[in-house]
Amino acid sequence: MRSPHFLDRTFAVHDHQADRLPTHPLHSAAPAASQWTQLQEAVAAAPIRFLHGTTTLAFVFQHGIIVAVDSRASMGQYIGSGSVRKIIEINPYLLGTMAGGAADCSFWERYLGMRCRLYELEHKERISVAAASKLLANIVYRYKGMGLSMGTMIAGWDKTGPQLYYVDNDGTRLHGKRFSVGSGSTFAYGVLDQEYQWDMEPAAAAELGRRAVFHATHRDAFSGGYINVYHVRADGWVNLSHDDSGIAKFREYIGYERYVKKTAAITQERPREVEGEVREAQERMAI
Amino acid sequence: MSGSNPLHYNGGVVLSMAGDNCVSIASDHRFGMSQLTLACDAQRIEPLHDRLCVGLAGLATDCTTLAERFRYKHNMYRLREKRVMRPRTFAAVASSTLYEKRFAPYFTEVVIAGLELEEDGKRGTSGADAMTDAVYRPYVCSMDLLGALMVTDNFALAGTCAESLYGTCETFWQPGLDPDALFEVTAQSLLAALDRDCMSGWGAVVHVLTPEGITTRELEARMD
Amino acid sequence: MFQSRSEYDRGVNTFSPEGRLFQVEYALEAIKLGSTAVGVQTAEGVVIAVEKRIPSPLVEPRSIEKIVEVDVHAGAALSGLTADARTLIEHARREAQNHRFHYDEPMPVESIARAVCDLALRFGESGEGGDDDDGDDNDKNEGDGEDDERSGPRLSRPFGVALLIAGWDENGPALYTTDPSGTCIHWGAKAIGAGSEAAQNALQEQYRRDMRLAEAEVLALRVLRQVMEEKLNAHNVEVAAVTRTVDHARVGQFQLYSTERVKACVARLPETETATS
Repeated sequence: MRSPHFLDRTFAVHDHQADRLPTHPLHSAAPAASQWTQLQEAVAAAPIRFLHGTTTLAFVFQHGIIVAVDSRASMGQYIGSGSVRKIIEINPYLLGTMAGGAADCSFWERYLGMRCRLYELEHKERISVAAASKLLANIVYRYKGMGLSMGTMIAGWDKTGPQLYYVDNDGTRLHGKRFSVGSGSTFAYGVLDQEYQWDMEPAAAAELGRRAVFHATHRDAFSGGYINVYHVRADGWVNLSHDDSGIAKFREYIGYERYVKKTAAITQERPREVEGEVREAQERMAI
Repeated sequence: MSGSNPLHYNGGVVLSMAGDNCVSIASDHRFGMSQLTLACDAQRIEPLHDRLCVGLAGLATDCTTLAERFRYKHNMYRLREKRVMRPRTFAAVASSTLYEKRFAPYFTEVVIAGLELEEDGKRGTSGADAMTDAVYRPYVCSMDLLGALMVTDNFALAGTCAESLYGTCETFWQPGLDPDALFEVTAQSLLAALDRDCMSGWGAVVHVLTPEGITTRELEARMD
Repeated sequence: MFQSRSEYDRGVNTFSPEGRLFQVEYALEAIKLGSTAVGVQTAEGVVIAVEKRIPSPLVEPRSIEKIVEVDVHAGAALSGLTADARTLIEHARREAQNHRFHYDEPMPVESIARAVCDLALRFGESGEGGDDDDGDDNDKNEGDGEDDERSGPRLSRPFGVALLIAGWDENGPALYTTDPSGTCIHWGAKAIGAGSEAAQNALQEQYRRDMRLAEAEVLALRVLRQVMEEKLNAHNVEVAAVTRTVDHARVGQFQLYSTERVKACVARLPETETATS
């Protein structure tokens, strides 16, 4: 409990300007027409693409939505981090995924979380996934052409059941049952499309998501690290697993035998007579 | 990034380290096209004889061509001279082979690992005594795609994660490593660096060259 | 005296020669017409209770809202022109969410109260002039209108509402009042609105800092019962509490009581008191 002297304390004037979020979280106004070409050139010359190597996927099935992602953050060919959390917990029943710019995705999805909370306070009910994704799509559309980079999936469960949307920086917003985003998405789609069934059990569905991401991390240089799997259910999301997509998973899903018989001891590979000749020559020259 | 630089198109890395009376050479196994991993059994290290190996990193097609040219040149030398090339002789050959193509270079960096007899002057000494008593000096060098030779007494490396690899090698390497320690240091340096590179990895191999012969060990690495 | 009043009580931004802002004082008077709200702070949490005047039996009692959630850890009771409160509450919620967004922590209750007060005095004749605190004028590209204006069209008069803000932050429980003058005070127990004078006297007599939360519920309702014209029941009061969450002493949880829970609280009130009032 606060002490009584608190009562006659005078309040310092707080500088809200510095830390307040304006209507638009970005303080910069839209560029003037003269600056526009400059901006576009700058965007083209120095694209900021920190998470462009990524595999994220999500699919709807009878028991909800499975969301599975890798955790590699590549900066060019360098691996900036192997343990990035690419599933953003917007709130207890909404998940967003991250592909493209890490900062763009995490900032705007956090901002989306804030907007969803305000919606909740105002309307006394949870925002629908459709509305939440539309909110995000409208926000990024306003910054179109300014270099935002994000390919995200918004997954959640609302009054209408499990819902999945894809939203990207072009302003695209798609409703669907299956999405995969990122450089490894083609590989993930391959596994996913092959095995997907509507009436899977949760464990099988999670395993499918995990396996699809693993195969993508195997084939795609820019994906890797850990495989995170979430399940969106009627009562909110749960984090199902966090597996290293390293040697153990490779053994489980593909198997070393297929690769590891390759390098025989190199001394045995050479023809006998060369072996003899070399020895002779060495003895002669004592090299 | 990897799209614009031919040296990084297929990915891959080679590392060589000097030990006490021994030398190691190691590489990863990835063969890719930009971000797509096509195979995990690429071989980048070419043994020329028991005490000389050459590793090639860069554009795969040029690596293959160069490996064949090196073998061709070594074979011709061996037949003509009735002896195998000493590591530094081969380094000179490799360097001039690369510089030949100064204005349309092979997109390949070369690492050479070999054992060189300590006393060059005693070449004439005959028999088994000379063999057993002989002291070998590790020879380690690397060159860029134009053939600029860089001989070192610790380690030489080339490939897509060279920067990270320099860091790990500086950390782990020390003088006077025996063959087992040398293997350990080489393997750990390589694996640590592979974990920071998208374009290489997917398995690795380490060869340790000693006067007695070559020991080859496969390394299990992350396959992502 | 009358002369000076009529001269100086029109402009909201002009002091009278005696150093008074009449419009603000009149706004304070408006609070005294509002329904009574009582807040009691204890070590276990803060209870707020408000009288809900139901003008007609045809009114759906649920549609009259006197206690609102500001964030998970804070709520507010309103007294005065509740229509004005909407703007303030909207502002408080937004500030609380902005705080979470920027700092990844709940906004301290004191800061919430102060944020409300910042807005309280931001009235005046000139709506333009652009000093809308963001420092940027990017209204041009707010075309889709899905973002509400943060400072919005300026109110030309003071807000006619006072808030009783209850919360629990890292310093524990907190009970604040804000009023049209922008004054922001931390209280142990406080009453605002029509019956505030009598209620405050009653609180002063009966409030103890070492009360339990259950005792605070009873105290708040007893005080309310004393000053209400109607007979107090579960439908004409609203009660809420902010307590610490079970698992964390630095995190509060706002909870608006259900009718059943209010009924249970009312049942605990001593019968006798009606006579003394």
